[in-house]
Amino acid sequence: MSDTPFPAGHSDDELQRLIEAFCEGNISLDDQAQLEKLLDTDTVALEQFVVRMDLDARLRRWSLRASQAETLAGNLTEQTPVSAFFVPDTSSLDPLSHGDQGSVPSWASRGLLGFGGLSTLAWLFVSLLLVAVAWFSWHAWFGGQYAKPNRGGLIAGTVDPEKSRTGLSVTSPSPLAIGHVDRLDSQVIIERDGAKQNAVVGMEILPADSLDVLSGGGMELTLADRSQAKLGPRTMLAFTSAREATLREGFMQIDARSRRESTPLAITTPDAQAQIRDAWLSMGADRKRTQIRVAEGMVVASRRTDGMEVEIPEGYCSTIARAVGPGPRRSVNGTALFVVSAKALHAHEDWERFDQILAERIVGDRLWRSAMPVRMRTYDELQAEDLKDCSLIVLSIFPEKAGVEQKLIDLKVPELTIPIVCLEATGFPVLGMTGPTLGKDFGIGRGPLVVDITAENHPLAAGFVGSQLELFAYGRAPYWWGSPNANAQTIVRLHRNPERCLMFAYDRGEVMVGGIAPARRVGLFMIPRGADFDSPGLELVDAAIDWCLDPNANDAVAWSIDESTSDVARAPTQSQVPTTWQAPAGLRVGRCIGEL
Amino acid sequence: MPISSANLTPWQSMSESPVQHETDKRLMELYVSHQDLLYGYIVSLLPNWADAEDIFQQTSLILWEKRDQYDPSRPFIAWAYGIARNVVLNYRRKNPAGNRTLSPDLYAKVEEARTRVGDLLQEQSSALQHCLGRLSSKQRMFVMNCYSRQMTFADLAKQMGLSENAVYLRLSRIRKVLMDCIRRTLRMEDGS
Repeated sequence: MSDTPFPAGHSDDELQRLIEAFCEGNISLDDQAQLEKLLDTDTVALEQFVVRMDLDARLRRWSLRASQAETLAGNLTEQTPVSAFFVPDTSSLDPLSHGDQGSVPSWASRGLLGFGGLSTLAWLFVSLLLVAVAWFSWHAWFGGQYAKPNRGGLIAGTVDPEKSRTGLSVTSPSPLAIGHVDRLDSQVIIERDGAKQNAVVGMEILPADSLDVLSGGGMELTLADRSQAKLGPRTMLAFTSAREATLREGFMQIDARSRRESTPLAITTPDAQAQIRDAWLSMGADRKRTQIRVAEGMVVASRRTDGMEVEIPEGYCSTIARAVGPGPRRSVNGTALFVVSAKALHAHEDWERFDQILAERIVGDRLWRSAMPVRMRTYDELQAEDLKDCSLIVLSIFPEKAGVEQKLIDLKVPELTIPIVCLEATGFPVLGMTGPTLGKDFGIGRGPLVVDITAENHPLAAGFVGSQLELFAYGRAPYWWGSPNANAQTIVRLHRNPERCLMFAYDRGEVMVGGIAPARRVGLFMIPRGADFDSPGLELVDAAIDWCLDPNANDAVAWSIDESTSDVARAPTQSQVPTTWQAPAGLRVGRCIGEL
Repeated sequence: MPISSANLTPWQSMSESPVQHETDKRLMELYVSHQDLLYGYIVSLLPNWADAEDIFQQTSLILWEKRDQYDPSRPFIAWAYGIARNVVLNYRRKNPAGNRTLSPDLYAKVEEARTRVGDLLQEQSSALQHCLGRLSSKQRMFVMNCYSRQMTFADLAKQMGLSENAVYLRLSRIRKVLMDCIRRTLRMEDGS
């Protein structure tokens, strides 16, 4: 580093080749060994490596910021003539450009779209003329079928000024359009021809468009055949054509009852492919599984790994994943009400509180990906109206303020004949699931958290067996526990103190500590480990959701444990064999204590 | 969809609200000013993009969790490197068959080297901003699409209507242009 700021000495192509291959993730084992040997023995090579990798990292971060800035720059196109929206000048999106034009897009300063010779007025006239020609052409070609007013009171290709968030103008309908945006909650990004832009109400969807609904957002679409689609938060959907789309992750609800028999819509997810026609369904997908719930009609889906097909009739759902048989099972449809402590993170929250709120987000995410539309309310917002028409209630951690327990009682939540999953220990006595004494009937402890799965074949155990470490929390993080009565089905117990349960449930009609369970009740401690969206404990959340949505909840599940080893055994009630679930094909074993 | 390090870290998300404790505030400033260096370190151990993002997120969270343990008399970045190193080691243990990482024997050497060339890395960052500004908007857009991608290289190439090799070559060329520009810029600043 004498006369050049860069580490000198290694200009050889071989080192560069090795670093490039390492950077791109396609380095061979031999090459990596060679690279590591070089880095170990040659200081200059090591410094070159460090500088090169740092450049790569900074380019990644710049690109992510720039793409976000570009998204924000979509707002600059307010007041923009129609065609400019689809032909963005990228220089105006560059967060690094500090030209004289300031925040004014460069095309604006030199006339419109580079037609410097035309005055703005003349160009507006030409634009309007083009719009009119396209509009009449569309009607001539398609008889205006697609342009009729739809559910949202919109006409495709125009913008309802009251509904448009940006006031952006939109072009006339394109013959290529496969649908349009009906409604937006929060920000949705559309990627088209490699460029990203904000979606607006009325905007057309073209083949090869990718839709990215951000966290907390939502979107409704009408497709060209009048099928309706709703997308949930953190959803990525890419259209290949009017007949094919890929749901990379997230939630999608489709009402395709108008879809003709001959043109099914093929939705591909990481694990499944579904052919949809004349049906109304919800799909949730992530990297590990795809969940499909059919409210009306029939859906044929296949598992992508082996092509195994499953027919999912009305009132059934199927989980399509590698280790699980996709056989359909009955399921309740509808909306899940998720009651949370807060919707925003604040700097003054301590770490534990932060972790709890993060957990709420992750649990909400799992609900959506279980193909359940979610209605989210804070405890402050919760009203009697919210409790109507939902199929499942998930009560998250209570906020740190008095009065939540009383509010739930006032709203008669404990008496609801709707299944409830309660993630808050203080909520257990409110719902009658445990006694009221803190430290005796319910309480808080601190990790490290070793737990025993005490009901290994129960559907709520999600295939976990034996003793587990860090299934829920890590380190010295706090955890909640409850001590239910002997009628409860206890799934997860604290290893050192088996009286204390981290997951337990009462079937409908069971006698709980505080009365008879009016519907299924699950008590579950759930704080994922840090920002871990793949925390294994989350599978217990999925299992609790599925168990609560089982329409056969009236049938007491014949689950019992060995009476000789526990004081909470209960006699089988009806049949000896559960009829509403199947054990997973392969039991998963987490990190067992014996392995530590 | 992994949380992008560019759009959300618990630190960044919280920095929008008033900070209660002066220590936290100071630590937050240190974090913000060093996060690019920290990310660069993680990328050099673990080049896979998605993994690096996850590790960066986890490291950020642990830094926040353990903020009481930070000794202000020591350099913040050394402390952050140490925690990131442990998170990567933990990742390796949990994913023995996962994506390729650098051998743990080299972690300490990489940290030392990064400390040695720390000033250069900061200067490189400023020069990079300048040099990106000198690219054509088409080139910048290309770099942005390549580096902000949430898809495989093959899918990206398909979306661009190019062969995978063509995208790779084009990116390599632009990267070389950037490297040359950075060298020139730093030389000029050095007055050499």
